[in-house]
Amino acid sequence: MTTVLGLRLRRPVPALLQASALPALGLLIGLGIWGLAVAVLGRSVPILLEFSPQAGFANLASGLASGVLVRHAGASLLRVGVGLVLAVLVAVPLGLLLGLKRRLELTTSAVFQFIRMISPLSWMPIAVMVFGVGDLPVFFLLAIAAIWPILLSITTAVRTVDPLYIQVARSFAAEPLEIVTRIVLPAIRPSLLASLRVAVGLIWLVLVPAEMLGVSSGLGYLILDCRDRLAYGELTAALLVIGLIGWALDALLRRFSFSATAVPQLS
Amino acid sequence: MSGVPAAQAPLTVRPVGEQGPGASAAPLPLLELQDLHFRYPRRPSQAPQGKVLQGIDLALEAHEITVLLGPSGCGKSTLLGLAAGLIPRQQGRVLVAGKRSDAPHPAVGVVFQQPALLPWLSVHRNVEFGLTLRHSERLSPGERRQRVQEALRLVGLEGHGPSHPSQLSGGMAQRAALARVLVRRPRLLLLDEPFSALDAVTRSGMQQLLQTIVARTGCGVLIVTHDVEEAIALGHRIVLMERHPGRLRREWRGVRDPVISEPLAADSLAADSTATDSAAADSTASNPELRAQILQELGAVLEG
Repeated sequence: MTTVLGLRLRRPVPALLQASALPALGLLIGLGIWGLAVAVLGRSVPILLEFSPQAGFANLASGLASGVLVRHAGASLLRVGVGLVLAVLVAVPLGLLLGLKRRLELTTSAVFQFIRMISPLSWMPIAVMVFGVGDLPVFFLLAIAAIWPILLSITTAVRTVDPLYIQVARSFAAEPLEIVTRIVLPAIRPSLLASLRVAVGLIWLVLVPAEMLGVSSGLGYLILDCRDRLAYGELTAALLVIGLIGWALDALLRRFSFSATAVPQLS
Repeated sequence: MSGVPAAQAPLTVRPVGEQGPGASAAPLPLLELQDLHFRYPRRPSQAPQGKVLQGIDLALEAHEITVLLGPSGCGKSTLLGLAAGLIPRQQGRVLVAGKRSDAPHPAVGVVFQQPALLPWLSVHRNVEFGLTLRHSERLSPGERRQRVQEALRLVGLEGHGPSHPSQLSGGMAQRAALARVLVRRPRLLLLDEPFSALDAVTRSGMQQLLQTIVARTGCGVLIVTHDVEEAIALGHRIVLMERHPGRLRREWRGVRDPVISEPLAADSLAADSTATDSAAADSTASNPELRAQILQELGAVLEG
């Protein structure tokens, strides 16, 4: 028996329906609620009518056609890429080291937990002081948001690698670096991919406020700009693009991590 | 078939450490343990003075299956770990082909109780693993492929190269683990209760396979077990260990004659082998007299 929207169905839901039709139905319902909420609230606050789905999609179409949205989205995605690469470059080697060296992990755990709990946006003033305005503080904020999920996930994953795999490699006289590259890294790959997915989600959340740090492109900048120009229809279109890209990134990483970790099972 | 049938082989029983006649003329043993002692540091003592192993002397020869038999907790696996260079030596010496060795040696292959095949690699890549490490002998991709296929054929897994470990049964996985070691053409195999997790039928098949491999490759084998039947079924030589502390108590030599055969390949390590491997199957005959002796000694170990 399958349950859909609280209704008990006696027949199993066909795969195609589960994969596409039901999510599409959910989106339509969400769109309906959005339209209804704007219509109702717009009676008392008329300016809210500029945030309607119609206005949003109309501005989305014009923004795409003019290339403005594409340019800003491209700049944001580039920053996401740089932030993620920086986070990976720091978090992966550090996570491997902490996972392999228990004493080092114990020594650093309190410090790292302390820093991790500071919201990435709290670093804004320090980032601007150190890196000035422009892309550099944005890269820093994105990287510091993404480092922690990757670092913690890798540290834990390394400690759970089956010691027998390492013993097998040692019995073949493998060198320490070979044990890391040939045993530990492949063994933690599922955890690494899952943490990348979480990291990209976090980066995407931090991106918009981070792009308010004196840059002149990106979706965060566009939102500030639209607010200043009172262009709320364009702002709604920017929000739509942010949601769409975030969803697409997550779907892409989910698909990638699934195909990369799937192992055939005994039939 | 070389030598006399196993059931009629003259059985030599002697206290451990005593040299047999003609021992001085024998070539260097593949692996020699000399006066090995071991205790686990900072651990509640498992034995008087915390000693796990005391005064272990053991020499392993080519073509010979030596079974290290003993009750649980007598230090068999620790002894094997020391011999393999996987556990840091504390006192005594480990010699591989006469040379001191304190780390895993390329001429020594280890098979563990669990197959521990790397789940992210195909069976072919798992078997190839030991040939792709930095210190491994330089082989072209074609030679590597050939060696892997040869090893898979030797353990009866020909055609299973593209499979993934999760698609193999327990016995097949242990065969693949054996192939992963054999592909490096080791001179000595160290096996830590490799068949204990298998069902009786599969275990019996694996025991025959091991005898065939020894016959065909000429490598020496040290196999750790607590199963008397397995010891009798496999061993050319059986060494009984006692515990608290772990010491070699008694050994039976000539349980059956080592069976040797033609080398598998021209450059095989067993280039001086002469007989056929059909004899391997003959050597599984049981030996009631030996069983009684071993059980009596084992009983004394357990009581002591």
